[in-house]
Amino acid sequence: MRRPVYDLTQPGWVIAVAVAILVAMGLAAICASNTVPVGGRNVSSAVMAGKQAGVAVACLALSILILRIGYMQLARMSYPIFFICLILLLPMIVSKYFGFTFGGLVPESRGAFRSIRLPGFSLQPSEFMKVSYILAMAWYLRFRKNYRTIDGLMLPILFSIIPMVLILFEPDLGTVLLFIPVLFGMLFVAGARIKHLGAIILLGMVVAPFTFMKLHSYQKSRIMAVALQSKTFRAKIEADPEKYAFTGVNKREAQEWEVSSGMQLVRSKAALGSGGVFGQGWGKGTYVEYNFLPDRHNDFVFAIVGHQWGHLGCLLVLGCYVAIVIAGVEIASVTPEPCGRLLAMGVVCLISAQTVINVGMTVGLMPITGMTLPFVSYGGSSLMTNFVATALLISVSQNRPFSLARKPFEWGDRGHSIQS
Amino acid sequence: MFEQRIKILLAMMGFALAILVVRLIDMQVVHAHVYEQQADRALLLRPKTLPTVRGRILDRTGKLLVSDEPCWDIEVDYGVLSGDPDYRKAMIRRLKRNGKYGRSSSEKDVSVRFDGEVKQMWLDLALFFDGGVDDMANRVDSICNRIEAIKVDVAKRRGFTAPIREERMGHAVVENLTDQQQVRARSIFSRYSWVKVEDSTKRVYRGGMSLAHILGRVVPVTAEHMNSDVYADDRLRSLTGTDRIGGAGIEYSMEAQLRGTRGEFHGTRTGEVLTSTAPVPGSDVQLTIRSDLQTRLFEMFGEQIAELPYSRSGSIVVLDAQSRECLAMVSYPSYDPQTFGEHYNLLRDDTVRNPLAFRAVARHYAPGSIVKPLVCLAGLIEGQITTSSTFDCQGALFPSKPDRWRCWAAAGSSVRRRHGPVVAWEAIKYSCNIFMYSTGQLLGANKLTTYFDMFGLGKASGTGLREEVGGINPTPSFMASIARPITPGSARQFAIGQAEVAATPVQAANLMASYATGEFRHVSLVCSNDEGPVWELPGDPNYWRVIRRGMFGVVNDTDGTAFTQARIPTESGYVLLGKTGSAEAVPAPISYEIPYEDIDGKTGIKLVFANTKSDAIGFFLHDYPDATFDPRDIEVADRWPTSMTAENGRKHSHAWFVAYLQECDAAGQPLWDKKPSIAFAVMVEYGGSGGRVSGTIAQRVADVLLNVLGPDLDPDFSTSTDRFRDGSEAVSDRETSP
Repeated sequence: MRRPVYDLTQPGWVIAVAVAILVAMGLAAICASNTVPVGGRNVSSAVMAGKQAGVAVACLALSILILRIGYMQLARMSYPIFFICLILLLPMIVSKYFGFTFGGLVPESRGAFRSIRLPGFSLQPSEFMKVSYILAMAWYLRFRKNYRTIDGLMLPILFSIIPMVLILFEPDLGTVLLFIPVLFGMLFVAGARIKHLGAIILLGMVVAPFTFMKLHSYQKSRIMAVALQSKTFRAKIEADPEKYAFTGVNKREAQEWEVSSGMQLVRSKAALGSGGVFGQGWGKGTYVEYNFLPDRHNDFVFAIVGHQWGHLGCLLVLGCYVAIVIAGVEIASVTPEPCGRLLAMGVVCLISAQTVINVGMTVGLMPITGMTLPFVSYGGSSLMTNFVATALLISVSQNRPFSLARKPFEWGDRGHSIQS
Repeated sequence: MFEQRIKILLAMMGFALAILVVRLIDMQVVHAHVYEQQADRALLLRPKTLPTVRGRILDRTGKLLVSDEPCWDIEVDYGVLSGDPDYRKAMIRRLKRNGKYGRSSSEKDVSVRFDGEVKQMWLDLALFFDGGVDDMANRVDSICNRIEAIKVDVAKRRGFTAPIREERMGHAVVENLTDQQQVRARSIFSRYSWVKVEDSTKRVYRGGMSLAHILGRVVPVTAEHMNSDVYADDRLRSLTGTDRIGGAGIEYSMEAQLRGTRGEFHGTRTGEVLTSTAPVPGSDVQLTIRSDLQTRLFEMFGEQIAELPYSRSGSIVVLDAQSRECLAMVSYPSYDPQTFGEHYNLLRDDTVRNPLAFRAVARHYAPGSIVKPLVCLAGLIEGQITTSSTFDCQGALFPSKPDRWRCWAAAGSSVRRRHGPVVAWEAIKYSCNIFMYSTGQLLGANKLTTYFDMFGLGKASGTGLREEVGGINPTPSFMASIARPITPGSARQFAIGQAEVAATPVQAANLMASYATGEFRHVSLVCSNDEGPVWELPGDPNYWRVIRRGMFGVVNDTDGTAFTQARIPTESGYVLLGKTGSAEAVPAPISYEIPYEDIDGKTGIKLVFANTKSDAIGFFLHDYPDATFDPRDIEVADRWPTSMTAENGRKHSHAWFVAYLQECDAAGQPLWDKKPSIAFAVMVEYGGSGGRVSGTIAQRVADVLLNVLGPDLDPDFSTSTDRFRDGSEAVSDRETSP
């Protein structure tokens, strides 16, 4: 019943080609300048690109392995995998709150503990958490009772809250926020009752302001960046800082916003906007030639894409994601098997949410949360996560439904076409 | 249901995508030019200001007196000086990032290392400077206080508190390093990233002690300076917190000329130059002072004063009688401008000699008899006396009251003497009080003060120095302001230059120049093309001849008051015409005792060196800010001179001698048609008799003048610097005094 590994099916090929284009653009963005600033040092871009390409090849191998195993085998082991990922998150918390770094194994970066450093590379357990979370959720939600009743919903909520809290303590707000659209999207597609979903949203809206108050002021100002772009809003804070104390932004910060905490956003927008329609050309332009834009090869890589290749380049990148999403939805809708179907939608939600949040923050419509752009941004763990996620997606398309599979979980009377 | 929900989800994603695409179109297509401008701006380098130098000060002959010379300063970041916690945090973060203490050391480790290094730096600095840790701490305090005050002031002006430019700068804690020192400093301090050895300039004063008061000094800029800055609107000329500004003397009064204009360089990272303005050094200032004359007079004056029993101080002012340019302005004693800062406390506490006082312009004294020619002239002009009017001097004005309104001839001497009947010129020669009492009484106090005004008493002489005081002309409004009645007695007192009337040495010299030329002009200390206004003084030439004849007699007639002391040999071709003066002087306080109670309730008595009670309180509060005391309990501890009367039993007095040089023939008779060239005043504090003490010194002054100036003395040859007179056919707006 399973197709051979090399037979990717039609949507599978679409996804593979889109991913290849995105990875290539990411490598080109790194190679645009001779050196890349990493943590205050300049590293040769050839070294960086080589490393990224190496990771991509490794990811390819991993993907083939996943296609070979098949998503169903992995889904069966999803609970242990989820549990291992949870365990992997613990060293970060220990380092952060007990000061024990496991002999330098868990380094601090800008006040956060997010990765485990191994010889030659480092791992971000929170990235792996994302995939194992989707897998485990898909495995659990395949039973109807699990999402139609409030008791059944308790476990997925718990599934979400435990990793979210652990990651929040690292802290890595961006990854935490990613869990919410994925959870919501999967529950919604699975067919959870609207009133349950509404209750969850309501609860989130009540909790959100309290969470905001508890954040560090630098986190607040990053979130407030969307509003702080506006000169009039900054002027209002300057005029009456007492009234806007809840924003966590004081008068001085409002005054200096453009050159301090807002500097990154201002420059990212300038890089993107100054690309125009056709862009400055590969390796050209102020923000490529000079080291003005921090994180230009990872979180803000989209700004560099727009700077070099202009609006057309941006549309190409967004087009690739649209292709992945549409292919993913196609896969989900032709798969009668509930777990595979949910898995496909989870991956679609994950990739589209990352894209929307990352591009949104680059253009100043979303808070700056430290989110990578899937496949394009530099970073091994992120690349691997997204490769694994898409491999699972393709794997779903490759697998025919089991003949003994339970009835599809809809209980409405709408038929569905099963494409073999 | 699944299909439907997928469609809803897709619609939501499509909506998000649409928003992003619209935003991208807005940024990259519609408003691309706005962001392109921003990108271009990002290429701009921060504008760099280029330092300038302050103008030089030259003497009349072009000799360099003051200039900026290159040197090196050790500057420390303000954040370290002030111990700003934000700066410390940022610095620790930076050091950690740089990996200076190993890449894996924690923030706490780095902060401990940083604090240790800052401590070590202070020790290194103190050792390098060998001024000790306390001295270094004082310097740092004064820098921080100054910057803090500027910050408060800026905040007041802006309406909110914000960091100021000066807080991001380094400030010099050790200044004026030589080339060798700076090399050593660089090797010691290069390990501290917050310490820099920077090029700088120091102000070098070459004039020595004799010019210290005139040249003044530069001081670090304070908030008050910035508030009253004349160039506040000029971006490149306005003051910054690391500048120095003139604080005294010519450095202060000529600040506007001396201050340079900074240059500016503004370019891009791509090497494009947008603006590049070279710095413009400040303009030079040329003094009218002859520094050689000044030095000689200062040395001579010091030697002369050393021989006097009570006097420790005095002043000599030499003017070009025609142009009123000041050729010399000696204030004795003085201080060394190069070590002023280090010795300030010693200088301040030397209340007997008061080396910091600029006596030539900043102290005024009763003019005494030197106003007598003026009184005679006023009497003649007003028709109250004639050239042949006589008053009979019987030693006292009223025979019935022999102890009041006496003539000096009768005072203090066991043998009662008198001048007998005298006419005006003789009255000047003898300095007869009785004649002046009578004339003054006839004129009345108010009339007298209008004549005082014509000769410049009671108003600044025009040097422009901030130290200058105007003396006192006891006009009716002045008398009203101090609530003193004007009586016939006032007129008599004023006529002999006593009571309220007061003049500075520079005013006295100018008074003499006016006697010599018949015109009143302002005194100038700086060469300029502008000659300034001239007021023709009233009076028939005969009247003027009377007073000049009298002054000739003072020095050259055998019975003149200064014949024995001041006469100069006729071979020189000049005669001295002058007037003696003695102004009664009470011994001045030099220290005060302040009984106080400190915060612990302990009481004590503090001896404070000061000349006035308010100074004493100020100095005391500086040292004991928390102590309480009752100002009424403060008493004078010591005075100078220590005895209330001199050895000869007379009261102490300041000795005046004012004179001018007039060419003469071989027989020693003045050539009246020649223009007089030089006028000068000598004031010796607690010198005693004007004739005996100041007259002697005046003769030495004339000697020095003839020696140093030589041929320049001829007014037709002109002592003024010709290069300032070239081409400007001076059409002076001659005015007649009201």
